[in-house]
Amino acid sequence: MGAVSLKGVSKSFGAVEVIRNVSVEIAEGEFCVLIGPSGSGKSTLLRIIAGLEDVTDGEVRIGGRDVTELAAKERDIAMVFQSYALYPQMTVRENMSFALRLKHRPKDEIRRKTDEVAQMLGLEALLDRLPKELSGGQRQRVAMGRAIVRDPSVFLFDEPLSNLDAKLRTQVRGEIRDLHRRIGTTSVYVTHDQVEAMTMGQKIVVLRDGRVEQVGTPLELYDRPDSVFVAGFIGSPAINMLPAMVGPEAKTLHAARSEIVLPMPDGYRLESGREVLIGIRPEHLETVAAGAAGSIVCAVDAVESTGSDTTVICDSPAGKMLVSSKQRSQARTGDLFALRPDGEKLLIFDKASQARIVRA
Amino acid sequence: MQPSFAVRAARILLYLIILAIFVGPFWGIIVTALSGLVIKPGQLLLLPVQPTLANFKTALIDMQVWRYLLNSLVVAILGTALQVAVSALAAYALARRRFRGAAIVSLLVLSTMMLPEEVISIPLYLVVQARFPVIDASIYNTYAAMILPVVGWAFSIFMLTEFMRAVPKELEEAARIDGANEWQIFANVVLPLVRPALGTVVIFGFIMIWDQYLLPLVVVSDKQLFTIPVMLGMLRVDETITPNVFVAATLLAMAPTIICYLLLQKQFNRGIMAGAVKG
Repeated sequence: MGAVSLKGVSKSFGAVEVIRNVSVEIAEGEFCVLIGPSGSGKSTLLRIIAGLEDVTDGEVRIGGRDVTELAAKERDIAMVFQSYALYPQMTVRENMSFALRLKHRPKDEIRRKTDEVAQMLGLEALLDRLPKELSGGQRQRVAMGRAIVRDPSVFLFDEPLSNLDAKLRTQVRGEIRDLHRRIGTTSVYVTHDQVEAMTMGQKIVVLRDGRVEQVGTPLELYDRPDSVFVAGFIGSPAINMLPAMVGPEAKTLHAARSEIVLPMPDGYRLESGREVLIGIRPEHLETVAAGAAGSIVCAVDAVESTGSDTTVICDSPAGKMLVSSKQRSQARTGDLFALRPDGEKLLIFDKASQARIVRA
Repeated sequence: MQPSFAVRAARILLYLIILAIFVGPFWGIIVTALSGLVIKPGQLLLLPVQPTLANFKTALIDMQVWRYLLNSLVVAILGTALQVAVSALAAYALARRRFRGAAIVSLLVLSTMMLPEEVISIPLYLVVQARFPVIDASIYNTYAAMILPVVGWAFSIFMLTEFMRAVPKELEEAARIDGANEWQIFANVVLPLVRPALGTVVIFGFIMIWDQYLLPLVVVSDKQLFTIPVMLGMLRVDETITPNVFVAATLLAMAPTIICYLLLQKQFNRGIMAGAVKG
């Protein structure tokens, strides 16, 4: 097993810089998720760790060993691709044992290891089938099996669930988590799905335009996002952002283009007149009687219910807002009601720098 | 609605005419080769007269067609094997590797298709005649003179290049991570995936080499090394043999290409189809 360390890694394709001075430390046995929108450089970063892309600058270490100049096969890593990349002409057994056969391992060792992993993943009955005879979920498991058989220092996953349907995705997500618990191999997992990131990652690295935006545990990112970008990217339904200005004597926050005035939460020392963004998570809004102090009057635009959760999309004088709750809503389009944010859980960001303002 | 009798009759007549045009000459050859009656120029038999296999025996043994068939087989089998190997390697480089000057290499390969055989026959003769230093020998009048010029064939290179381009990049990367070197990626991952195209390339290559007429005529003067097309050309003007023996020799010359096609037919059809539907 090995820790992964990236120091000042940069990567350019011609004049386009896709990774900019990224430094990340992934501890031995840790499950780290790289997340970011399309074009943020997460897959490129994974490919740099794999040795499929060279770095323009910086250093990559795996298990303390500098692997920056080493070829992929010398890095002792295994990768699960988005498209599974199973060799179509080989059976499941041949796919799983390919790396061991290339290393000229003894035949009985190859058979034993393949059988062990096949049993672990419930693939015993499929060993003689070709990839085209398998379902998406089974192919996914074979791709993981191929990685596990090699017993590498690091597992790399490149959006491995994105080709599966929603139900299967949840199931395989659990399987990968269990597998990591059992095997304990350092894993780096790329996704653009923040639910995957939150539910699987012990550590999440949020990337934006080739830079690290924030590194932290899932709840750290959710509760204390460093920037408007992270606050918006992590959490579903998305956080509400209200542009506002700090009121006289810094005791209130005045939402822009509206009459909404919210009391300043405790612990903030802000100068009057400073332009800020107020971040309110949808579950931190409660319905109150109309006219209550510090409330926002809204009109219901739409109600989305998943059965267990309900999200009400409403129009407020400050723009669209999302409210979520575990309770079912009887609201109908056009209904008026008042919302009050939980002052303790408000997040305040500087409008100019987009950085979160930390409570004193 | 059922077509009327007249329409059906006209359709059948049309089929018969087409059949006569395409299959007629071939049938004529078979019937003549199997007939003991010596035909005159312009005569066409519908069924064998005095059926016999003696014409084949005369052609094979007396006219020594077996020797020329053997020469053709050696040239075609070795030539096809080398051609497929060289084409597959060249196609792999062009399709899967990025290197400086790849476009120029493609253009050079393509340019070999632009010149008619007749135009290059004299330069080719000069090249084949050229003597190697140290050993002071040329390949003129050897099998190599008939094989080496057909080893690099643009058609098979381009066909395999297109198929190899369609192999997903992730497979190559997965193999790279699994520990495969360049050769292992080529042999274990990419090549098995272009098998249908390989079948097609083998058949086309074999037929192309088997049918070579000008090349053996130019690079070989020893009669013992002649291939079957060259020998057929000579038999055509030989007045000592009957037309029946000549067509029997022609049928014998066709046999290996037909066998080659039948053996690889499945691959050939898959190759053609795969090429047609690939996006």
